[in-house]
Amino acid sequence: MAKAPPIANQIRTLRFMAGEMTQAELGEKIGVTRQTVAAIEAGKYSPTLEAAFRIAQVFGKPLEEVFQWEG
Amino acid sequence: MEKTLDMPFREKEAWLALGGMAIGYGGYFTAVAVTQGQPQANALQFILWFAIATVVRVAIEFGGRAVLATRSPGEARARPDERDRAIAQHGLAAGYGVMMLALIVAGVIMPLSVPDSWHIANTGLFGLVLAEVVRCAVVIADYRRGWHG
Repeated sequence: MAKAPPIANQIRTLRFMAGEMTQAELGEKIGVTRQTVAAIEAGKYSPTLEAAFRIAQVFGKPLEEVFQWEG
Repeated sequence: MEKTLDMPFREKEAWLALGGMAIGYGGYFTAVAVTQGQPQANALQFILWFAIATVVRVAIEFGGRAVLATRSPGEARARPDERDRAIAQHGLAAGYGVMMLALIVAGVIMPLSVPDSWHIANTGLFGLVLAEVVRCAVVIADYRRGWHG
């Protein structure tokens, strides 16, 4: 298993603040499956830069408010 | 309640492929190991066993996939997303390494030292099956434990 990079994310909180958006709804907006959104939230998958920007765009936030480097 | 730990469709496919390989070709290679060196073992017998093993493997993998597609048609129709593709590529890379090693053993080393052609052929087949098993195992492990490329 590749070591998880020290990246935190606020996707779960942002989904909650966006009217309790479901993982499936977010996944549909950015073009990934519900399971992939769950894996990103849990830190089990690092999204591509494009997907990361798409997620930030969905919530109307800058990238650094969605993902934080903790290294 | 929102699901967070359910299995992606591609992981289910990998489990089916692994099960098909284990049951189908596991049976074949067990039979080959048991009959190795016995005078009654012949080419027709090996071919028949291999054909049966292949039918079993295909039935499990494709039959299982058809059942899964019936239960969740949306997931079955969906194209692999970026995580699915990254994990599939990792699995292929791992399986390719095993396949190259097996083909070097069966195609280069064994012909110089083993006179029995069926022994060589079965070693090559075992290498191919092992490569596929490794591919499936890596895919499953990546889905369950996480993969960051």
